[in-house]
Amino acid sequence: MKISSWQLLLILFLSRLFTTITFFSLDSFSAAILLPFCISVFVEAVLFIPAILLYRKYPDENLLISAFKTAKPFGTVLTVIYGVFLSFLVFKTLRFFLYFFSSAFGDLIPIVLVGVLLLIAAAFIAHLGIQAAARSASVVFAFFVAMLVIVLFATAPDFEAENYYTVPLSTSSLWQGISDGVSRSDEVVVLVLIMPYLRDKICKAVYGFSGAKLIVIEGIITCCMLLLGGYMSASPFSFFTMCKYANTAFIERLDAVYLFVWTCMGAIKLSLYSIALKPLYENVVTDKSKLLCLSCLPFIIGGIPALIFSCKSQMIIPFLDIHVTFYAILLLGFLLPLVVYFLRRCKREKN
Amino acid sequence: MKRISLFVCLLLITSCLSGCAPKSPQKIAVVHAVGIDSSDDGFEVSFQIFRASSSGSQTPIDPSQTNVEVISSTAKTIENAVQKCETQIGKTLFFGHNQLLVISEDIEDLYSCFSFFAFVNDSSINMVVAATDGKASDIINCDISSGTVAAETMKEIFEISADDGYAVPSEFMKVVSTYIDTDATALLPVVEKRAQAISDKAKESGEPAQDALEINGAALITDGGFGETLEKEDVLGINYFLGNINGSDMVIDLNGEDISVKVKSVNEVAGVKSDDNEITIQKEITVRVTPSGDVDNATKEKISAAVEKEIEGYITGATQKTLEQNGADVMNLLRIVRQRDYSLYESYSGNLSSLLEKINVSTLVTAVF
Repeated sequence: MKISSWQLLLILFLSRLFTTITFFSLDSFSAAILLPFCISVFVEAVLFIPAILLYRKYPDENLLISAFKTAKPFGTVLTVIYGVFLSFLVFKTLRFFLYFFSSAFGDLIPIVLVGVLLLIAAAFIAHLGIQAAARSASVVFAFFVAMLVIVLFATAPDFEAENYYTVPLSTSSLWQGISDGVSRSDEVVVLVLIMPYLRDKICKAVYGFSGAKLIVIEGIITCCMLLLGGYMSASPFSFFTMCKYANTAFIERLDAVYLFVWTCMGAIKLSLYSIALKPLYENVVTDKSKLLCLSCLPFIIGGIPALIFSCKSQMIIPFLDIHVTFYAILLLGFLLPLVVYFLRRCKREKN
Repeated sequence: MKRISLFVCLLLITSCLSGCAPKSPQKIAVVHAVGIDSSDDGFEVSFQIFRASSSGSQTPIDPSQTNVEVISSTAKTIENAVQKCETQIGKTLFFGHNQLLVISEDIEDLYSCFSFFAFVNDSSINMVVAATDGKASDIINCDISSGTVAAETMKEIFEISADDGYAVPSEFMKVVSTYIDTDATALLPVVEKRAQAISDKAKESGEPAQDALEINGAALITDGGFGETLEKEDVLGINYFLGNINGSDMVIDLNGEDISVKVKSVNEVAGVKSDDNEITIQKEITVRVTPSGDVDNATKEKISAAVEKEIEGYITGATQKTLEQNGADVMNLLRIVRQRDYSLYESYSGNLSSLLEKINVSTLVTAVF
């Protein structure tokens, strides 16, 4: 079950879009995040290097399999660490989604039910495998592009050039913006785990993803600034507000379409966190019910606390979501893959 | 095939998250217009809601069978007024299709009015916001016969007036954006109700005079409260400066002869020059002029000169009234400074009124055919 580099690009891109179009920054001060975000994309491009090195040398192994082949205890420890981090990502992603849903759509349906349904959908996609996720991503991407084009055409006449401005940044603000950008890039960690599913060149997928992310997300932030101006500080979900404002002859409220696309993105993103662990056990465990249980494990460990936490009125926990996640991504997405790469090479040379 | 059908089921499940409300339509009252007046208790809030039960007789447009009703309540806060109305009618008020928000100029706490609609989950943010020097409830009680819902027609009146330059564009999101960026300053079109003239035949048949709305100037908001009212010429000047004119009629007096032309905004380019004591914003405005008939080149030059002089007069009048007399920025001046020289803008953060005092506006209007 392999996917092409284009499919991998789409999955990673949608996963990143989900986070970005929820909100831009802690205080929605968008003028201050354009440059740091741009720099964070280049930082992430460097963080991908260990994954590329590993893939080129051992294309059928992900990081955990390589770690097991280096030393079983080492592989076990890494599996636990990555499993915990992926469960944390499930917790974080679901929390974002539930907060957005409850803020933007009030008390439409019980929020816990929404979370459970989303987790069920994600678990099902994860159980079907990476190809199902990739095909879903293609369809959702088409919907997203259509929605984006409609929103841009509907709102472009109301753009005000005076709303766009850039801000000279101090070193600390720049560093804060870069770490904020990198802390949202859990795709760096996911990539080192789902690499074995790729059948093409990895550079095409990875750097295509970085380029697309840079262009599209900077474009979305810029358009939101041009349209909303000062209103951005009054709305935590700027892109959603832009969709609310867009008014066409055939659809008066595009925010409902946005929710559909965004929910699909959320399901695909959540499923990735379970699919990432699959290469480790899918060749070993053959019983279908056991496979299903294992694929549901991250959703149970991360999803239940998120459903409990959904009662709180806070989306971002700065210490956890930015600082801890930033260092975790550096460690799990860059340092550990680099260590595993060198250890694997040393072991191979010894043999 | 199995996978495709499972995938379709999955899509259906996720798409079902996006629309189905637990409340049936009978339990929801769709609000189309809101009026806020001042009262002894705080706010008197009126809602024009859609009433499906009386949606016309055999024809869709039947003035005797209005398809809206207006409900009002008074309370200390707008949230309480909403709750009182919901209790009154036994339904939840839904603001997702709200077209119009009319605020009486007696209201002092504008921040409460704006913040309520900014933070309500389902509120429409492209509704038109207007001010009135009378009662806002009278405006939304207008018996407008054309259109299926009165508020939609009201909104169209504002939009057409804004295209002509006689009303400032006043979508809620734009108004709040300006309010935030300029330290609680904004501009709202002033709406008045008047009785429309009816034909003799209609009078004979006993038909009552229909209501009509008229946009008459704009109300300036400074420091979060209503201030001076601007005249139509000032509003035109602001719209020409901002490039909002899509087609405004102008009558030019050429040697005793009135010539009617259509003027449309084409382009504006702004520059900022600053020294220690003064900041000059220079704007070059280009407009396209279309005369009502054929004219020779000599007449075209005269028309251009007359149009340029007229527009410069409007802009100068608007600048004097807003910036010089009231210290109000309704012409995006602070945003221009922020864009061109952020360091200068930041040095005045927290004291933007001092920055405004140093700003001079210089315009150069060019009329082209």
